[in-house]
Amino acid sequence: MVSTFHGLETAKRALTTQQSALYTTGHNIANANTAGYTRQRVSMQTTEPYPSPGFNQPKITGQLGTGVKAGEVERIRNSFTDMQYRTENSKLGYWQAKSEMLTQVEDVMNELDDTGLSSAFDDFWKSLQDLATQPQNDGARRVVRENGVTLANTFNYMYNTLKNIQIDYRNEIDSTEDTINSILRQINSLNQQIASVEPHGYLPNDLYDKRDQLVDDLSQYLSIRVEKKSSGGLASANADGLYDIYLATPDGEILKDSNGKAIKLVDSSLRTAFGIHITYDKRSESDSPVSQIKFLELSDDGFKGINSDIEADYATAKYQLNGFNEFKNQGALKGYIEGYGFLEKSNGKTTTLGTLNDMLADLDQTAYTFATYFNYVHKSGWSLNDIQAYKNDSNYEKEGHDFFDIDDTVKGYASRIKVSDKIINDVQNIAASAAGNVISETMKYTGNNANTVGSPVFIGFFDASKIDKNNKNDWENANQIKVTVQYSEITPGNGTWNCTIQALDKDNNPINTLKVENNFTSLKELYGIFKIDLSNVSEVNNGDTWTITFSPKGMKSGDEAYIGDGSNALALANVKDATLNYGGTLTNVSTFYQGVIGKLGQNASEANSMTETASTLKGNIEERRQSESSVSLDEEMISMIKYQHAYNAAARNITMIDEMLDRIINSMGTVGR
Amino acid sequence: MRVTQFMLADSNLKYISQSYNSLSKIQDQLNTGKKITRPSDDPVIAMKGMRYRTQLVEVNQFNRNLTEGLNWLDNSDSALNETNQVLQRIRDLIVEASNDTYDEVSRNNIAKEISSLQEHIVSIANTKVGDNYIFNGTDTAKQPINDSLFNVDLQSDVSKDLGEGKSGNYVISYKGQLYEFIGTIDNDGNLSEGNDNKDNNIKVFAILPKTTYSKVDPDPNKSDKDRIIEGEGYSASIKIEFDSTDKTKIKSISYTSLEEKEVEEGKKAMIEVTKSIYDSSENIDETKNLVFSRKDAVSTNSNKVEIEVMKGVHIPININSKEVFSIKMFSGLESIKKMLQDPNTTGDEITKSLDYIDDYLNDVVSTRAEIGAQTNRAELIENRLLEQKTVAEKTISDNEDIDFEEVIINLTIQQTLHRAALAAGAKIIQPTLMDFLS
Repeated sequence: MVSTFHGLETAKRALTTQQSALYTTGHNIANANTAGYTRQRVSMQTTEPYPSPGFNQPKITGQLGTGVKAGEVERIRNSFTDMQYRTENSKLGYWQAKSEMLTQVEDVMNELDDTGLSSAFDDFWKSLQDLATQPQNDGARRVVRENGVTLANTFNYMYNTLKNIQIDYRNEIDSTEDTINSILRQINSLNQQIASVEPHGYLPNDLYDKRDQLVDDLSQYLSIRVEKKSSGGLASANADGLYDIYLATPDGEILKDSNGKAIKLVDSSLRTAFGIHITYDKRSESDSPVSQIKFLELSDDGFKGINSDIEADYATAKYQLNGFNEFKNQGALKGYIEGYGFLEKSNGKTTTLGTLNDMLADLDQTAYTFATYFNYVHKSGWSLNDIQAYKNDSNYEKEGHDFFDIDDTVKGYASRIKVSDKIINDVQNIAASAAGNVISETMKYTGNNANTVGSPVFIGFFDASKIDKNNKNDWENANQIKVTVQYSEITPGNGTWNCTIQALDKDNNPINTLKVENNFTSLKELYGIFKIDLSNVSEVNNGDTWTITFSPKGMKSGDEAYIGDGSNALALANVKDATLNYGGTLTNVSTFYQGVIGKLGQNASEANSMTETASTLKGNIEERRQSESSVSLDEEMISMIKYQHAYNAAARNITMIDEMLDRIINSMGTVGR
Repeated sequence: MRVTQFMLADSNLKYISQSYNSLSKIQDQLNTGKKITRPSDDPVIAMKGMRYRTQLVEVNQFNRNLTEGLNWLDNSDSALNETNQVLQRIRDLIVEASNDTYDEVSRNNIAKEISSLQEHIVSIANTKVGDNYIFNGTDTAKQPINDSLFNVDLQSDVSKDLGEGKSGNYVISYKGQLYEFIGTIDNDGNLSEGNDNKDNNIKVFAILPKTTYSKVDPDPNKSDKDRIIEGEGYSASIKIEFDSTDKTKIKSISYTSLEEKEVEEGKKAMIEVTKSIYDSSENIDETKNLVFSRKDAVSTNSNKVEIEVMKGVHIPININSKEVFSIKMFSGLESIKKMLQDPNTTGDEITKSLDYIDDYLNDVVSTRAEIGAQTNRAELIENRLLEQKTVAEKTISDNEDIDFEEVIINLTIQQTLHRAALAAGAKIIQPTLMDFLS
């Protein structure tokens, strides 16, 4: 038997259910523009029909529907698109970081206008050519000095600006680190909130949205992989569960640390998050390369039990990547670090890499190689002051001096290069006359070990009075000068370099011999007139020997030096086109620097187009996701009308039942009354 | 696919922003006139551009060098042209003076005019281009001609230097002819050529180079028919003998020349004839006809001044001034002046000196020809540089300059797209279902 008020009950359910649907519609409309909001839907279900089957149930004709109930409020979302979105977002983050940095570098090294290094070289060359045609003209000398200063300043400016960009990126990395850790903290806390709601059978949709939004944000900085875990209890089948977040490779595999442990950034079962901590080779130096990446347990503000960055550097980490090359990941953090600089350990050797470090090293190499050779050419010539002094005293011995101040270290030279004070104070010290014979040549290998790679390069000129003043004649009258460089191994991997200089007569018999024993290192100047560049020699073996021979006529004598002779100015101008050893590449300064700019342009161009591609892909996926999850106002309008009508109808239903009951109660049994 | 207002708004914004991006790129191109504004726009164009611009800078600089070079060459040429005219005038004067009817006074006047013309040549030789003396090799800061060192006083300056073994620094002009130091004669009468040996008292100056001639063999044992032999020697020489105790004191000066004599029937040979010019013991002093000049009175620097006019191509822009403004000429002119001032000089002797003037003129003309050749070469190179410049500029332009028509058309297309995007957006975003529900 069906209850008299059955219809009322059904209508009441309809009213409340349509009401909740209307409220959800309202919620959707309200959040139409909320970032990360997923539209929600009340899933309506019919209630249990009456009667439910059973032995003691009353038998009536057919099962009667009892109305509707609101099942769950669901999010309309596809977790597969989420995964795709995050992969693309990591790519975008990575390439964007690179592209932004390279764009900044391009702004500094912009060779397309008249302010770049290449036009500074051109101007310097022009002024030297002018000096070559008018060597006695004081004005031409001053222009050479000023353009030399400009060239040095351009190097300094570029180096310092790049260095500043590098320091900016250090700050960027530090703040990215903080952002990542803060996101991880929030995800962890959301995990905990969700864990307290889900077991009651509710779906905390807005918490889900918040968490997904944070995971999206995180994916910009790191490649991650999300694994869902049920939170237990009476959780709904539609519950998202808890997130375990792993660090992932670009392919989506879980990344393992140096000890083979999978790196879990958020651990739902431990209810903790492990934050990222980047260690630098020397923390106190703001350009020191990244050496290790550590993962430490996060507390509410910082790492648990750790008070400072330095403490964190030495703390025992939960996970640890010992080298940056093990950080197989994508995302902005990797992009920043690749730009900023990192240490790479391979075959027991540690090298400093990174886009900015490479650019700085290229600048250093350009400046150092150019200045070294330029100085020797300058030293070999005669300045006005020298010519004057020789005129007054024919015993005068020309000293020769550097045009650019120089030392034995290539690293950072672009920031130190400057025109020497001698030139700044007196342009008559510019040696424009009587060009000497300056050599920059690869030495000949005379050993037979096939494993040895590369050969030393001899740079400089010969001057008997600098080599051995007391036996000057031996050296001056020699037929040839022979320089020999030898490597002798003391213990494996540890050896010394020796250099022998010999004066040979016509029959190649030595007349005089000098030795530089032990510990002459690459780029250290010998006798003030030459250097032996060992920078591109590697895999040396015991007894490796290289030689070079040349004529003892390194400089012109004072009798050959005249004020109107611009031959050395011309030789100085031609240093621009001289084939020199630029860190292992035999080329001239313009070609080398063009290569540097070409490489930069190529990298920047790649980064820009990859950014564009990743951005388009991300846009497409975002669109797909929006298509699924975003709020359509029209749709909500229609839903609203739909639910409103249903609500109205249910109300009408109540009126109908009311009239029905009214009939029974007030109008029944009054037959014939 | 389900499309929502949010998506429409989003993609509309994206399209408009893309459109602005394209417009900004076109704006950059139109404002700079270049296809690219940063290396990453096109790394190849950027790299090539650097190389081409350097090439252009080089060509321009070489052109500038060449302008300086042509300046030198043109100045040298006009200086030599003037020298030529002056020497012609001197030649005319000498022709006039060779007339025996000219008396001492008029010859003296001619000598005076030659003197001032000679000064003019000195000033031409000291020509400056900018700060440079162009006729002094690479020693451009020093005046090449020092006219106080022509015709130096014999007794005070010369005799001291000669006695000290510095004879090599001097030349002698005698009646227009140049005599250069060749060696000394020792006590046994043997000539040792080359260095000035201080110990030998007799210094010999002679006309260079040696000549070959028939002479009489001095060996008395030879039979008559073998007496005439072909020999080598100097056609004339001046011997200066110093006092054996006081090395600064000249004892005698003698002049030896070859004269042709019939030694035997039909056979002629040259024999040496010696004449005393100065002898302290016999009171002969003809030294006023001798002109002693220091070799360094004229430019001693014969180095070439070279400029680079193309990668690795150097051209000389000066001449070897020693060949034109020679000690031979300046000293010779002094000597000719002395001849004119000497009343004993015969017209024949003066006429003979015309040969020397012609010799000087010859030097000038042949050096001018050399300058002409150098100038031609420089001008050829100048033309080539101009061509190279045009090519370099064209290459740069082809490489990096925009094609204006193309960019303008792109701009128009982009503008249309932009307007369409804005218009479409405005039409699509505005209406919603709500506008139609009442």
